[in-house]
Amino acid sequence: MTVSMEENSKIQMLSATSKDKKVATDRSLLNKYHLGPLALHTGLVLSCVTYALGGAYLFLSIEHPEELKRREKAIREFQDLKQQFMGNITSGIENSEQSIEIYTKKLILMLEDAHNAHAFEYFFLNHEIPKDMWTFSSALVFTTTTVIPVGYGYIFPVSAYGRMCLIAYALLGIPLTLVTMADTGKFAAQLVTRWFGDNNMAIPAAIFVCLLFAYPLVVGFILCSTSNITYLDSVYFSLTSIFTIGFGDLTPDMNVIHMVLFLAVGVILVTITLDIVAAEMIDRVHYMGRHVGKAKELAGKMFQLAQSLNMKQGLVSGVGQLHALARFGMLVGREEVDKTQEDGIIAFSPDVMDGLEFMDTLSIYSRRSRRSAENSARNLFLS
Amino acid sequence: MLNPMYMNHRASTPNPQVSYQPSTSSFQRHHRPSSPGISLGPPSSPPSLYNLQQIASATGVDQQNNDVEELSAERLNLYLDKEEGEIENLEEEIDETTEKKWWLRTKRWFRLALPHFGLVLLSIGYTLIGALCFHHYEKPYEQQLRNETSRRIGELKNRVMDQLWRMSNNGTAYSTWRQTANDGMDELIRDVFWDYTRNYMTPDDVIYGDGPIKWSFMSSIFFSWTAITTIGYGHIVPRTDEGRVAIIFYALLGIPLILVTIADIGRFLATYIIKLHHGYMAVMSFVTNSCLKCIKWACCWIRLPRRHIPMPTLELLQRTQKLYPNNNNPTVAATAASAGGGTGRRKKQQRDNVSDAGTFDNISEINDGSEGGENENEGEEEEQIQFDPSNHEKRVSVLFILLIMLGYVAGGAYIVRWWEEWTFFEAFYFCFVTVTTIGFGDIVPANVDWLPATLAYIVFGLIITTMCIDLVGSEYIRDIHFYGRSLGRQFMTIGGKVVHLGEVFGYVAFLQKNYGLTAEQLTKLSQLPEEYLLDCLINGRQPDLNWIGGRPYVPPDIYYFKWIEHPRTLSFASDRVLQSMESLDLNTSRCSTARTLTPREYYQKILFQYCKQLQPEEPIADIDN
Repeated sequence: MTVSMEENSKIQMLSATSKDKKVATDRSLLNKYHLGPLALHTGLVLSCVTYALGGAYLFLSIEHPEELKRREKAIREFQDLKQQFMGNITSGIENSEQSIEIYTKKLILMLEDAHNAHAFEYFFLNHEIPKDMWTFSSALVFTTTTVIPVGYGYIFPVSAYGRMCLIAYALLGIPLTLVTMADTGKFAAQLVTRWFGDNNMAIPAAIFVCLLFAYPLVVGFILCSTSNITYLDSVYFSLTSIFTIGFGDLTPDMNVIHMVLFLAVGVILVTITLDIVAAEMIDRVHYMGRHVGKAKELAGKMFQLAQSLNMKQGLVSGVGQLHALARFGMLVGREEVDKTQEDGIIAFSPDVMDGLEFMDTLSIYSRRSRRSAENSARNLFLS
Repeated sequence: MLNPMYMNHRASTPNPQVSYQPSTSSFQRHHRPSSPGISLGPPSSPPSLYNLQQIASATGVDQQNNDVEELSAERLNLYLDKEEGEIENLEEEIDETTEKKWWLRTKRWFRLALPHFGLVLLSIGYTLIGALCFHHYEKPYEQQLRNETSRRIGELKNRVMDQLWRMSNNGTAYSTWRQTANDGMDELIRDVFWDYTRNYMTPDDVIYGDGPIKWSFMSSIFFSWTAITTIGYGHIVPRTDEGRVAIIFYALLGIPLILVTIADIGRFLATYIIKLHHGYMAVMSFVTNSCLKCIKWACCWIRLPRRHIPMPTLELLQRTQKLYPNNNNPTVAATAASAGGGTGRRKKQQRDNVSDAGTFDNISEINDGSEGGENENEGEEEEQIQFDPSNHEKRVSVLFILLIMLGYVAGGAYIVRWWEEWTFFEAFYFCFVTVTTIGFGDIVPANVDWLPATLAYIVFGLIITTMCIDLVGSEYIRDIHFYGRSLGRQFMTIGGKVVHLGEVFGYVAFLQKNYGLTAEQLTKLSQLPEEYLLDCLINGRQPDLNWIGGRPYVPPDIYYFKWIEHPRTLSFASDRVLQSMESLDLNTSRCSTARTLTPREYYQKILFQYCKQLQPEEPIADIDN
């Protein structure tokens, strides 16, 4: 009794210490990991926003003086063209038709430049002081649509220096934005997967596809009610925007912040849906016709192994570990497969088994007639 | 005896003589060597035998010659027939094997190639159908709009000229005339402006009503392709409601199709890029190793510990140690200090260290591709110096991918410049904006003759861009997303089925390719329990595909053992015991189809034999009987 009591007390002590250790580790884990990932993901989003704002300021500072120069030049050219035309038509009234044709042709050729068209519209048609093309809000829309990359083409850099900056800006900004959007999208996918389909992915896929179809319709309705565009044009604009086609033929009156939010949410939604639905399609098509039987089962088991080992550096190391395991295991497994029979796994059977026929206890009690007993036993057994 | 038989045959039937000719010839052959012995015998028998021999020899010589010739001919024919038959059989066998192998190869190749070609053809067909659709909807509208505009401009122009002419004839004041001319010109200018900016017309369209058709079939192909690849220049857009509805549904279906096709082809391209990258890294590692040797030789006061790995299990242990680095290890710090790229390794250690989770090193690496490339290069160099890692572990560096992409853009700019009358920088700008699918539309290809070449360039550019994202971006996304936490069940749900399925399949395909695993072996490996695999991994043992896992031994002839009866209980057995035994008997036997004895019958036989054996030797048996 005393021994058992002591053992019980020891067991209780061990369990208590283990509980304390667990609590301590939980607290330390919370302290360590609580801020890390949150700061990282928030930092990504903030860095994206900062990058867009910085780019807007950069392009505004580069392109605005260029715009002013080109505007003055355009106005002067238009006035000269008109004076020339008036002089021609005054001097020779018989050649008026030819003069009109020449004037119209030159005018259209000049209007091919967006800056000229913009200045002409405000100065000659509306008789107003022309607005600036490159304001901070328009520059922000420009940088956002460059980085996502929608690319409406409402405004674009004209100077060589501006274009070089655009190339560098897009080369760095597009990966950053894609990574941020994919990261945010995976959180949304995780939430939906956790709430709905745990067993299969059909329900989340259907949910996202429905959202993808509904989003342009809803935004189209909002645009139709807000600005002066028809519903069909609104749906057309929103669809071409969130799929990053971006023709740029329609210019709805929207707030810049609403525009940016609309584009970001739409592109994230498209990314999630394509990631869920199309990724598996790509894999199936690419690996069709190869011997990948039960690959999912095998790979799932390997990922569970990686999970069990609690690898913190991501999956690459885990795959390397499993790869090393598979390398050694398969080399040995191949040899063994050659040795063993192809019928399947056969239990061990000793060779001595052939000699054993039947256990007979009669021979113990009849030593004299051992031979006859054995023969009779066989006859009995076979009969 | 022989003589009368011979005489009987010869005298009785003349027909058997003809059939028995060969036998007679053989008989004669048999007697020829014995004839001199017979001549030496008694004088009474020789004359008769001699006469017979003479007669037989006279007739037999010709027969012998004929028979020999016939036999030889027949045998030769048979031999030739056999030889011909064998040759034919061999030829048939060879033909069958070659045909079978060729058929199997063709079937396998078709199975592999068919879906990929199907996707490409489907994409091309979809593009052409879209082009036909837009061409059908938009061209009539364009022509109608053009005619209307040219007519309106013509009328306006005529009206202005008539007014001016009438005024000049009437002698109106100059100020009034000038004002009228200004108003007319302003109206004309306003109309021209709207025609240009809203309806995308050219001067010839406005003035004469003719000009290049914007919605030609080639332009329609270009438009539909740039729409479903999400480039979207916007230099030509659908104006009709039918066209816009068509573009909505066309994009909804076409964009996933094109994404799948381009990603599929990008996978094939990625394998070649990985091989190229490995070759490049091998050269760089060689150069770096030589540099490190020089450095070590120069700094002779620092000696690095040599790590000799004789067995793979030790390699596994090294890997496990590498997974959890110790910052307090002085040798690691010494090596970091001694090596050239100290800052890179420090950053790498910081990356692995848990306490620096709050910093933004990863963000800086993503923003600055060069730093990321350097870090990865150094990491791979370390791995190559210490171990010989497998090809699957290496991550393609960001700098390498950037070089490929910018090289393609520059090459395309150099080529496109020849037929588009652009400067090199303008062509580079156009190619960059196109390949990244921004598509402003400020610079668009104008030469229709070389449009297929431009389309081909755009297609391959998109494939390369997708390949770059697939190689580099996805890994960074995954690392960032799961930063700071261990892999959980949620990861399994998403990773195993949604996110990392490509890597899963790639890994399995890699196993099959490099180690020659068959589907059966993969099946066996997947059937092994998780605990066993984990145990093998931790203890550094190889998994045994034939591992049974504690199943008990079952002898094959288990069904012959039904019951064992001790002989002493024979006399005590009763009907009750026998009935209970019979109730437990299994009438069906798996091992043999022979009828087995019931316990009653077996008992009776045993008793009978026992009594029979004991009867003649012991007198007590009589009493029992």
